[in-house]
Amino acid sequence: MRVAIAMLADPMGRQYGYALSQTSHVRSGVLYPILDRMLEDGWVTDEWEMPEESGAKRPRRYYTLTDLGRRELGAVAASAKTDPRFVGRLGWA
Amino acid sequence: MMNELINEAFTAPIWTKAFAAVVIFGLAPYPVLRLSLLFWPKGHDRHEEYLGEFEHVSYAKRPIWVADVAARSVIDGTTIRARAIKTRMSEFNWHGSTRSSSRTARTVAIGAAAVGVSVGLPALAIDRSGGGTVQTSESGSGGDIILLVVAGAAIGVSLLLAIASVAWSARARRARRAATRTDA
Repeated sequence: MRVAIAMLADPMGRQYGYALSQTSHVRSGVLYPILDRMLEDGWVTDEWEMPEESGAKRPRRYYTLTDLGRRELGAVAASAKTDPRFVGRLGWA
Repeated sequence: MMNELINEAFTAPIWTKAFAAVVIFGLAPYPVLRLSLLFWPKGHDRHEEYLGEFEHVSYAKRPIWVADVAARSVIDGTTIRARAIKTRMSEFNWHGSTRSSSRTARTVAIGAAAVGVSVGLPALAIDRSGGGTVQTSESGSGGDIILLVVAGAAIGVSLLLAIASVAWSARARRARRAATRTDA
């Protein structure tokens, strides 16, 4: 759920794993399997940024939400807003 | 030597282990990351992804991040590797008439020999050097016999497997040649 909220904070933007784990406060060991499942389900697409584009030493993998992903994650987040298990826990009012 | 190290690792007090973990993950996170990535199959996306991310993790957070990645690599990497091996085995041509079957046979032979040597030789070496641990004369002789049997069995089985695999590989090569001749 935290990952969904972090991704929906910038639904059109591309995000990389470490930044997502920072914003969602989810450990990398938990985050990457979630991203894998989202990739398999077609909720996100991935792309690689080559070192010559970014100036980094190594290529970096970015994830972008697809239309399906935005819809599904939006629905999940909306249902979680009324779920007593999440109320007051995920930074929502 | 090896036995002493293993005994030391198991009998050391908890603070020593904690200190060793801090030193290993704190001072050498990059080598630890590279080692843990070996659990993933060669060319897997996760390999490059983790290495790319590592650059952007702050120095203070690297030890925890690498420990987390290492734990995930052991579990997921091994699972994916096992799945890949299972797929390869199911696609393997057991009647041996293709190039891949011959290559697989050779890999099995080399693997079996490597396992045999890596298990058998250290066991023999430990046995020759007196076991490396303090033993009573009775338990020592019992341990020696078990070690000898394990070492002998490991080397014997691996040699048998290697011979069988090489023969199998040769058979596959003959079958392939015969098929080529028939086609011509």
